[in-house]
Amino acid sequence: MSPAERIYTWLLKLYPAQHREKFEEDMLLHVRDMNRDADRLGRSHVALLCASLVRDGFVNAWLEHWEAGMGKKREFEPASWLVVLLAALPGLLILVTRRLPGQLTPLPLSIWNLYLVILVIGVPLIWWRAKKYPVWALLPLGALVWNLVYLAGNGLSGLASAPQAQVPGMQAGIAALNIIAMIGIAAVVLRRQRLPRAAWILVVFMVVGNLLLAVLYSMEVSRTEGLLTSLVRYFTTAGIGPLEGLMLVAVGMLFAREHGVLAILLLVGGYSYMFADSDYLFGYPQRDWAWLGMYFAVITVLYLIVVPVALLRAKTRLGRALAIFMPLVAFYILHFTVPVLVIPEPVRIMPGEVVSTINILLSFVLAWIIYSEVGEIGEEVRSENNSISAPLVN
Amino acid sequence: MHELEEHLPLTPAVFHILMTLSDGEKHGYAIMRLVKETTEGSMVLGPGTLYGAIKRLRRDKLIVESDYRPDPVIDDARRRYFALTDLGRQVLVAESKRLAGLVEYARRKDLLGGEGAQYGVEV
Repeated sequence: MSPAERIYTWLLKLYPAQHREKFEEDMLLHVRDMNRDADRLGRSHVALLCASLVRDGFVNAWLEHWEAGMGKKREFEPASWLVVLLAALPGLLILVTRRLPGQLTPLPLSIWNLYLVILVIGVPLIWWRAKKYPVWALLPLGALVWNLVYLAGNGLSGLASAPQAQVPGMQAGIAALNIIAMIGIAAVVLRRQRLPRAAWILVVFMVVGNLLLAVLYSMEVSRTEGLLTSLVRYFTTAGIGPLEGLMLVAVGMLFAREHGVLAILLLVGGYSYMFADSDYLFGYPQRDWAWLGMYFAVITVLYLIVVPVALLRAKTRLGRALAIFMPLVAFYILHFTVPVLVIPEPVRIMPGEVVSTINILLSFVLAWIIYSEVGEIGEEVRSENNSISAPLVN
Repeated sequence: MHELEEHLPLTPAVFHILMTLSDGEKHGYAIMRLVKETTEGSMVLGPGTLYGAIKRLRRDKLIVESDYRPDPVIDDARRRYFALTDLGRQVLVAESKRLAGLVEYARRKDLLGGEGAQYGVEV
């Protein structure tokens, strides 16, 4: 088999299974013929062919997935405006209580308490009436899960490591809890559900990508540390980003059968920790700059109001995809460009934050892939149950 | 007529695929080579583009898979051949007329000048 055929055999794995079943043999014959022609013209033509096949494979695999899934018109019933308002409430709370420039401190704890009050009071009420977890409460639940893991991890590391230890003990604790939560929940869900191939590829990409990238910013510190400390630091640095996302995706799987893709709101809530500390100022001068208040308002609205409102009101699968990813991408573009453009001094964007952002975006993509599939199976099960129960009623 | 209009306008790749099938059934690689020759190398259909288009053309009933299989001595017996349907031919004619109309409009606007001849348009 020629290199071009080997490359394309691998690229074919990216296509939807249905497309592969119908055309895999024809497409490989096509590549074999193209390679034969290119081979006659010389090695440079073979290299050009390989490059064009990579482009052809990636672009068209994506188009086929688009057509197989997102391109289909599937009508969803938009959520009521009351549900939409409740889902947007955390964002509105942060928007109206966010301190103005001049007081660039983290959000007061009271905001988080309000967040949790919504959950503690609202959810049992809804559960009592509807016997299901309300979709709007996924946002505060995500924030709660993330905070519980954070606090517990912090406590765990406090018990385990000496105060003078140079190891990032708190992060190691959080990473450990993330692993436990992720494996536990995933094991429960995966007993009934197989993940799509694309999800596994993405998980491997995230884990391996972080293991490689962490080499870049953990080597410098490692020179002054012992081997064990360096290893713990390395694996914690490499693990914390993807594990955080995988843990949130795993928790969301518990709700995806009921809510499908809407379970992604749990991730929105989980990652909203950015609005409670100064992570999103990381790398930027910790001081006021012109339009800072406006900037905070815009990114808060984009992330915590536009995403849930648009997602809950979207009527099609494509609409839901746009509702999640357009504001999210806009949010991160603003996050990285506005301070650089506005602050007069050179702004240092930390590589760790860029990697973290990529991890967050990939977690959302992973959640979309998994929840779409889990949600469809949930719908089938519900419709089967309905069809079984109908004769009994009669 | 309404059914035809649903398929228009055709993408350049689809137009060329239908054109190559207008004079007989062909397999995928033959389509690609003819398109490449006709467009003087400016359009090379990779396997993803070609079979994606073939899938959609079959779904829309503009082409069908032919029963013809080549003699294994001459060519690979696994090759599948595709042929234009009556609907496909009608769509191709309609698209050709639509394009001819556009060229005519450009000619009347004097945009083609003396170059019109190379596009097969009387100037």
